[in-house]
Amino acid sequence: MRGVLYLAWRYILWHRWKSAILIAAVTLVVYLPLGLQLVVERTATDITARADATPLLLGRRGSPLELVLNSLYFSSDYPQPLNYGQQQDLRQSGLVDPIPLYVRFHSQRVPIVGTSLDYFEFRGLELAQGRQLVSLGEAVLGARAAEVLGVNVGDTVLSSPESVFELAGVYPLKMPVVGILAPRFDQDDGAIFVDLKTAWIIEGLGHGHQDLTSSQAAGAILKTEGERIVANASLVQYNEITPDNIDSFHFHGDLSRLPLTAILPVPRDNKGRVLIQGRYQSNETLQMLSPREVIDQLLETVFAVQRYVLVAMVMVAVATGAVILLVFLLSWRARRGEQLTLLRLGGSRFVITSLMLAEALVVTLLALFLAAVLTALTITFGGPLLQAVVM
Amino acid sequence: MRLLCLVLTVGLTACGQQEEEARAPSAAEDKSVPVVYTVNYPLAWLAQQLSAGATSVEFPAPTGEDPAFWKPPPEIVARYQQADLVLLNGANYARWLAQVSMPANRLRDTSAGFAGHILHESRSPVHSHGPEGAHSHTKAAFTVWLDLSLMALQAESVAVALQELLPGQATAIEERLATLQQQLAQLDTELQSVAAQLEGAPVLYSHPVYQYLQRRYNINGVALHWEPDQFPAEQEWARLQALLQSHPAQLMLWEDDPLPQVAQRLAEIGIAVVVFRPQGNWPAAGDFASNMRGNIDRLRSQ
Amino acid sequence: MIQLEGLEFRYPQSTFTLQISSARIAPGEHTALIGPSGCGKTTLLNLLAGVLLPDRGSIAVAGEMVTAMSDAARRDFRIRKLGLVFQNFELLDYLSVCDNILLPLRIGRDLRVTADKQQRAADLAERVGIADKLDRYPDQLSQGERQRVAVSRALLLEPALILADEPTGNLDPGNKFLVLDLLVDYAREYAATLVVVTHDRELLDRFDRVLDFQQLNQWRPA
Repeated sequence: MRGVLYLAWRYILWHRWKSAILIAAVTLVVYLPLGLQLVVERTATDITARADATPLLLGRRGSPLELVLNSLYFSSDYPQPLNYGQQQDLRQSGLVDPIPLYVRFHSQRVPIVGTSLDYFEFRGLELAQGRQLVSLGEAVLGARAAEVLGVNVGDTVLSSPESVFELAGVYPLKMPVVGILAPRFDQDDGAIFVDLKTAWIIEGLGHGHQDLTSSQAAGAILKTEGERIVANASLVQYNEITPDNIDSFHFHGDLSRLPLTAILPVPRDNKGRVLIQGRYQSNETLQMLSPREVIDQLLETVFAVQRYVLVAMVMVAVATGAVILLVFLLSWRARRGEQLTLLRLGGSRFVITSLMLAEALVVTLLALFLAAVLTALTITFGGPLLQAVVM
Repeated sequence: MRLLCLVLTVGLTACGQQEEEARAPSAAEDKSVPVVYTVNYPLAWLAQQLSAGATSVEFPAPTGEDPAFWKPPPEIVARYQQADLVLLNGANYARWLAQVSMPANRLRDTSAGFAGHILHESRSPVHSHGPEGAHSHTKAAFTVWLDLSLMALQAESVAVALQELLPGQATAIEERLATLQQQLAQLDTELQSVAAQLEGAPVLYSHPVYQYLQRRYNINGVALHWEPDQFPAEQEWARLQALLQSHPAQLMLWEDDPLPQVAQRLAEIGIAVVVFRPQGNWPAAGDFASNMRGNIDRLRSQ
Repeated sequence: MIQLEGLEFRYPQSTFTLQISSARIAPGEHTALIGPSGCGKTTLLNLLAGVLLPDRGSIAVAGEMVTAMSDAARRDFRIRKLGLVFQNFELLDYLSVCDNILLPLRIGRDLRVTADKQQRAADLAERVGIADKLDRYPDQLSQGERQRVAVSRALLLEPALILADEPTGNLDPGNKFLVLDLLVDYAREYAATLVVVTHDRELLDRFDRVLDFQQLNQWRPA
């Protein structure tokens, strides 16, 4: 049998283009439906796992999907904001421990997540390098975000303006990277985490500037009307928070009116969860969601589409299979002369049949191996890719 | 003589270092019990009284620092971040908190329950720049605990936070709270009666830290900005003289003992010195209650 | 060496019949089988090789009754005892010269490609003058070289009987003498019996005996 396999292998190598096309065809026929199925299932598992790990989500009334995608997966447009004060209300309820989220800004295309340290504990995020956020203006990066931006602890990241025409308000903030998280293979890997207050500073809701009563700021004073000082645009606003200027950073007005994109209320127990959901049920401006329910609805649509795609793929696979069978049969006929030679030299019909089938066997085995490799690659790298597409 | 100088220099330097060093976690910081960090001594004292050893209470500001303006180094901030509970004074106290990241769910603002009673004073000129419009930075008066009725409310807030942390000891904490509030009410009553003896007479404060004392106990005071360890410049004395024209005070409350020559000069112009320690930081001796009683006694003796 | 008795063979749906009452080829004898195209020479060769079985009669080769053997035994006999050379070489285009020579070892029962056999293939290639072409493929060789590869394949297992069907039919004059001499020299050296079907009369003086197939076959069309 070794001799027969050797001959089949030589035949495949000799007809390498034909073999390659056959292998590619069989590989695709096997891989495409399998890969799609696996990727969709894996993605669904990942998405669902994250939704399961997030019992509740509070946001402004609007698209539930947008709220979930923004808050859990840091994608999609940012939803209408709610007030920081809502977080205080939730805490005072004593039923949940609320975690604020302000997911609006980006550094290049990497989302900046403004939150509190509770988020790290809630998601079980651990540092691989550096230290936790301490001072205002610092950033801790997910493993993939650090890789994408090519930064390390000690480097800085710059928030991107929301629009190139934005001349007033949002100035890019330069943030030192103080820590990089251990990879978790979920959305947290691809985010930049900053303190909520830092996110507000990026938006310009808090800022640091020269002391208006200082002599250095004299050139920036436009006019003084009694107690009132009007400064012009030359007033130095800091685009980086340093130990020297941190004291000048401040927020105006009532902090409780500053914006959040969502709040993750972590129920202290199941009763708390039910009670808090009940309290927000008839709220006209806010919606309290169970992310799992929203994601299940999304996945239902994805699975429905996947079913159609799979049916189409199976039909294509059957047609391709028939063509491949035809190719093997034609090859069998084309090799009649060879079969006769082998017969006359003393080869048995079993040996000759085995040789002819060995070609199909080797092609199929190679194709299955390639399909397995592709599937493994897809599982490793395709999940996030498809997730990005689905999102 | 040289030897004496050397000894003094070394001694003073050593003292200085001691003062600058933040308190290391106390020997009592026991990882088997929840760790509670506070931003000032009154809260640490409340937590100690209420948890009675069931928590490890930490307030790591160096001695000699005013905790209101103290800025902990990153390693101390990290200890605050890892605490099971962080008790805040509120009223914009410990401004460093606004500049650091903290786990919000482990912070308890002990004055949130009486936010409407916080006193504010304008601190900087109204100014405008950029699209946001005019604004100014106001400053809240923060020594809320000098109104002992407010401190009793803070004690209640601390008790609730501790009960969440130690659900098994809820009843014991409740009982300790009752005792503590009784003790505070007693001090409050005494302070009220002592303050009533002043009968609205004009009083001076060495610093603007007695706003709540003034409001609660109806004291007619005006604040200066005099440091206990400094001799005021002549122009400050001149300002005082001018102030005395409209506010003929014969009593001045000091956060700490002033320099003897300051006390003497004040005595010369008819102003008696009374040390009334706000106790923001750890006391040199005794505890909050005994030191408050000391404050009351000193005031009474005038 | 070869003994035919009462041999009769007919293709289905064909009137052609092979009828030989008795014929004998002595051991080590070099025989040319001549006759016009289509007269049945190749059919006789296939009967001798055990590829076809006669309807009647017996064929004994080297003392073994081919007609009494099982299929498997006949195949084994063919691989181990016979060396076959064909007019159109019948090399496998996807195998190198070396692999083509070693082909019987890959298809025969209980046969293996060993170092000895590889050396034997190299020696044969050397002997037939294609030692430098062992790694080439048939389509990179001339007609003469291809037939030399086929000859080497036939001689690999040192056969006692060589059956060659028009081995020089597709070769130029230079190569046809070369190839025939290779077969004759081998047969002489190993005392092997050689039967060559040919219609090339120029080659006949190389043989000990010339058999006219038309005289051998006793069947005459009606």
